[in-house]
Amino acid sequence: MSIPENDGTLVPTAVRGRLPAGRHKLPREFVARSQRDRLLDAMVQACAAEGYGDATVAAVIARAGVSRKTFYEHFRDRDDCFLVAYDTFLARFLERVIAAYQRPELEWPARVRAAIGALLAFLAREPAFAWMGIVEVLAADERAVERYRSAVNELAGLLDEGRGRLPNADAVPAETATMVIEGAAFLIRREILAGHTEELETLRPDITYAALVPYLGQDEALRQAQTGTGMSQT
Amino acid sequence: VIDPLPSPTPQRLPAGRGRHSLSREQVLRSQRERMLEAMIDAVAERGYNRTSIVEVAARAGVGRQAFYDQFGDKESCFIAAHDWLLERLANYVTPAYEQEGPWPERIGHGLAALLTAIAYRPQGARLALIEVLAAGPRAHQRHLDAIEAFTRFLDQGRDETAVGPMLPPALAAIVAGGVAARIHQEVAAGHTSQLPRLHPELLYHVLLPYLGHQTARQEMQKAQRQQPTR
Repeated sequence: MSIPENDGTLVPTAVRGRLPAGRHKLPREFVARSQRDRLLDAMVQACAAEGYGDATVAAVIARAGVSRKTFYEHFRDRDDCFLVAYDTFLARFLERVIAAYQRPELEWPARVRAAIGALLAFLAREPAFAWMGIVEVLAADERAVERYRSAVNELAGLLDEGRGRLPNADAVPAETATMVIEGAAFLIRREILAGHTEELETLRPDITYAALVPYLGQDEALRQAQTGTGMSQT
Repeated sequence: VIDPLPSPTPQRLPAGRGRHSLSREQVLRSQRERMLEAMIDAVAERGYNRTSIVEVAARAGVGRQAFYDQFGDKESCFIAAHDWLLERLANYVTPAYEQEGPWPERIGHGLAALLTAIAYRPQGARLALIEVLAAGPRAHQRHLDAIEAFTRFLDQGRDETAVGPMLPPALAAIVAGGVAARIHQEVAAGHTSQLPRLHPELLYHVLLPYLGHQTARQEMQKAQRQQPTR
C-alpha cells in the first residue's frame, strides 16, 4: 500500500475525524481510504489501550466508527488489519531512521548518533505506535514477529557498516550488531512498560555507547555518547 | 547428566481413597508442583492461548477444583510456573558466578551455567522466552524483570575498568537484553539443546563494553578452546 506523506502520524490529521454522516460529495475512493486509514489508526490505538489480545474487530470498529461489514471489505480478519497497520507504521519508522543515517556529509559516528536520535524521537512522539511496534508485536502472530525481526536486521545491517572501520573486522562476531539493536529494543520496551515513553530520548547516550563500542573502542564510543549531552569528557 | 534445575520429582500420590501418610501441606505442595510442571509441558506443546485449565489439571492428575484452589486462573498458574523456573535458574547460575576468580572468568562460568540450564529443559525455555510474551502484560513484565535481574552481575564490570564511572547507567540492560534476544532466537528456531555453543560469542558480547575489544577477544578465544569438540 502507498503511505500518505504526513507529519509522522499514521493517519493524516485531516482524515482522523469522522466524515460527516449522511450523504456527502466526497469521491468514493476517498471515503474508502479514509475508512481504511481510520481502521488502521483504530487498531494501533486499541492495541495501545487494550493490548493485542483484546484489540478485537469489535473494539477496532467501535473506535473507528465504521461497520463490521466495512471492516471486512478492507481486511480479511483482525490479524490482517494488525499486520497492515504494523507494516505502515514500520515503513514510516524505518524511513525516518534511515533518512537520519544517510547523511553523506557527516562522519559515520555522527550518522549513527543521528539515527539513534531519530529512532527515539519517533517513538517518544508516537506512544501508541511505540507500544504496538515494540511491546505488543511480540504477542502477535508469527508474521508480525517476522516483520519485527526483519526491521531489527535492517537496522543491524546499517550499524554493521561500522565493520569497515575495524583493523581486523573478522574478529567481531557476526551477531554483534543484531544483539546491540535487540538490547536497545529491550531497554526501550522496559521504559515503555514503565510509562516513560515520552522520556525515551534520555536513553540516547546509553544506546550510542553500546552501538559504537564494538567498532570504535571504549574511549571514542564514550566521547560520541557524551556529544550533545553537555557532559563532555576532558 | 545431572539435572541443573532439580525440583522435587512430582510423583502422583497413591491412587484410591485410602489413607496415606502425607500431611495436608505435603499433598498441596506436591499437587502444586505437578500443576506447574503440567503447565510447562502443556504450554510448550500447544502454546499459551490453546492451553486450558482442564488440560493442565488432567496432566497433573488433579481435579479442576484443586487447580482453582491453588491458582485461581490460568494466567496466575502460568506466572507461577515462570517464576518457579526462573528461581531454579538463579539457584544454578548464581553459585557458578560467585566462585572465586577474576570477573571475566566468573562471567564466563555464570554464562556457561545459564546456557547449560536453559538447554537442559527445552519446554521450560519455550515458556520463559517465547510463550511468556503471549500471556498478557503481567507475564511480559515478569519476563523483563527476569532479564533485568542479570544486570547485577554485569554492573560489577564497572569496577574492572578505568572508564567504569563514565559508562552509561543503562548499559547492563542493553547487554542483558541482547543476550536474551540471542538465546530467544535459538530457542524459537528449535536449537535449544545447542545453546552452550553460543558461549564464546556471548562472552565476547558481555565483556566488550566493559573491558574493550582486546580483552573481550582474548576471553572469547579462551572459551573457544574450551568448547567441547563435537
